[in-house]
Amino acid sequence: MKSYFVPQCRVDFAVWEHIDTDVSRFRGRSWRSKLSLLALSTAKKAVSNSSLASTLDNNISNIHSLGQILHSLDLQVYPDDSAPASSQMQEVSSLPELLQVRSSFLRGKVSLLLSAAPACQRQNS
Amino acid sequence: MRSDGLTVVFMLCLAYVTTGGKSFESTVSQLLRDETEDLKCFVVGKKDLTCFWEVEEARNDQYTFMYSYENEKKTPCVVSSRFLLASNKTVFFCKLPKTIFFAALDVQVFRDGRTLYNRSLRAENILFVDPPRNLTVMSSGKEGQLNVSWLPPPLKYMDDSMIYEVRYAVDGSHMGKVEEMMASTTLVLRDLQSGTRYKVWVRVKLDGVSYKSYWSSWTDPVFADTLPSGIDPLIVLLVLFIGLILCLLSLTVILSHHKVLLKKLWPDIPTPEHKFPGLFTVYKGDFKEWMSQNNGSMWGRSVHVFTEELPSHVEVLSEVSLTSHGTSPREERKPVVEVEESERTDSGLMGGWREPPHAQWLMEQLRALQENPESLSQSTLLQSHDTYVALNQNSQHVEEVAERQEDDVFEETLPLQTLFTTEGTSSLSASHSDLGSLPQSSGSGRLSSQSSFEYPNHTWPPKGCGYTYMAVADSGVSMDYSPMSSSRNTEVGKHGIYTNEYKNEIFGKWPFSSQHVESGY
Repeated sequence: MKSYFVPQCRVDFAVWEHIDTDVSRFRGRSWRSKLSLLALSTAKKAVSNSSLASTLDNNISNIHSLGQILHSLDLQVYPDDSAPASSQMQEVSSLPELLQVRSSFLRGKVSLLLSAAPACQRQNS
Repeated sequence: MRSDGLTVVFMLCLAYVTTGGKSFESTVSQLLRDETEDLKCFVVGKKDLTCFWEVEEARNDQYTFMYSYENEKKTPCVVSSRFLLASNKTVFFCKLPKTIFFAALDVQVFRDGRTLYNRSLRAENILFVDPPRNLTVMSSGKEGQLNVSWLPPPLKYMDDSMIYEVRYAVDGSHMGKVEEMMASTTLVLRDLQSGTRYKVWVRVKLDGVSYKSYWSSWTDPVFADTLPSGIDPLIVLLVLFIGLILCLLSLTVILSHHKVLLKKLWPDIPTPEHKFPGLFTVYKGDFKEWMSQNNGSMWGRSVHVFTEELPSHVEVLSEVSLTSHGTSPREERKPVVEVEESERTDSGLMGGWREPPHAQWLMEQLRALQENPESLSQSTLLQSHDTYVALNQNSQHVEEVAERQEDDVFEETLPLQTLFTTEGTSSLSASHSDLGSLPQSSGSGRLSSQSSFEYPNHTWPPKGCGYTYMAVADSGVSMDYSPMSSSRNTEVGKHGIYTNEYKNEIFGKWPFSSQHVESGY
């Protein structure tokens, strides 16, 4: 498997509260689908079980469909692959690392960004 | 002034440390029970990550603690120790200067240069949360229910990841139940005992989707009472259902035996209808009419019939044949009476008694007498033999009797003739003994026999006709005082009324055979 540059997943709450949430939300939204696609496609190449490979193909197809819907609503932004690597990025070269990054990214930053979004706030009765 | 300020600061710090220390000791105590790893680590809040290990005996060992986050260099951490009074043990711990979530963390403990513990962990998986706040338990207003509510611990970004566990038990009981709640801070406890005091506890932990934690400690218990029970609706329903079934069964039994019950409670008034067939249905209660239509068929029954007339007493001693006396053939037309034998001897009687002829013949004789009353002109003297009296043929007396009984229809034609004579006596006399209850008219012997049956077709014989009547005497053989007769005694007054059972072969087919004949004087 070749190396991929993926965003950092770590969250320091002492710093997180002071960062630009809009920018972070943008970056999180943009990398959410890409990381999923990247992880699933890499995993498909690594598995030998035909049924598992078929399941991974179905998941990849679903993510592409969701991305097209969000793009039509101007909500889906794909990151620029040509952008230089930053401290906010990390390199992964194996499928376990890629899957771990994807899991941490979704559990951490994506969850924090969604919980802070106005649409996800609980309405006070 | 300056020293006072320092003293205050020192006291506050001491209080803070004590409180924190107390909190640290409780957390450590809990993790010592729950965590299986030798090197135990936990994150309190979102900024403090602490790792500790337990030592049986405190010795002067040198411990080194090293940690490193992913893609970072290893960094040492200052090791501290604390003696736990509760467990009488010593723990060494290190509090990391920074806490990074969603990144791998490697920690190592060295003792005297040798690796004691080595562990890889992630901060988002070892969170230790505080227990819920403001636990409140109140009655819901319904029987057997309690409303429980609380506030989550103050943990930003993690509110949606919390799950709660509510434990409740009857006050004083060690048996309790546990309810688990997901992302909700209220709960209604149901199916509780009425009028009972309950204790409630709550604890919390993170669900493990984004963040994972240990169970928090239990809150302090809160007590609450359930409403007292009213009447159990189930019991009320059961009682009503059973009562309804019993009522239906009783109703069924009553309806199936209503006739029997009616007879028991309201017995029918006995009526003599069955003794008088057709009297009330055909003849509408007209007894005379009924009698006239049923004279032939009813005589064979034992029927007590009473007339309104003054009854007369008739006793037949024996039958007599008119031809035995050597009289004229007319005598054959005299009424022949079958006389019942008395108890006394009949030596004084005229001889020649024999069985009377057939009843039909007697009827003919009677009719003949009616047609030819002068056939009775011959007086027949009867002599009483102690108790019997000869009949009076005086027409005057007959009229008197007729006047008295004018409206009565009685058996003047039927009265019996009994010829009793004794030697040398041909006078009328009355038997004293037998007629003791009867008024006597001296010499007149106004006696008339009267049947207790009415024959509308028969009237009192006209004037001038002489009848020879049998002396009616009470032989005392048999007496039958009917209820009517007893009442008659009061009505009649001086007249005694009594009945004798009349038995006579001749009158086997006669109306008054085996009938009670009343006579009155």
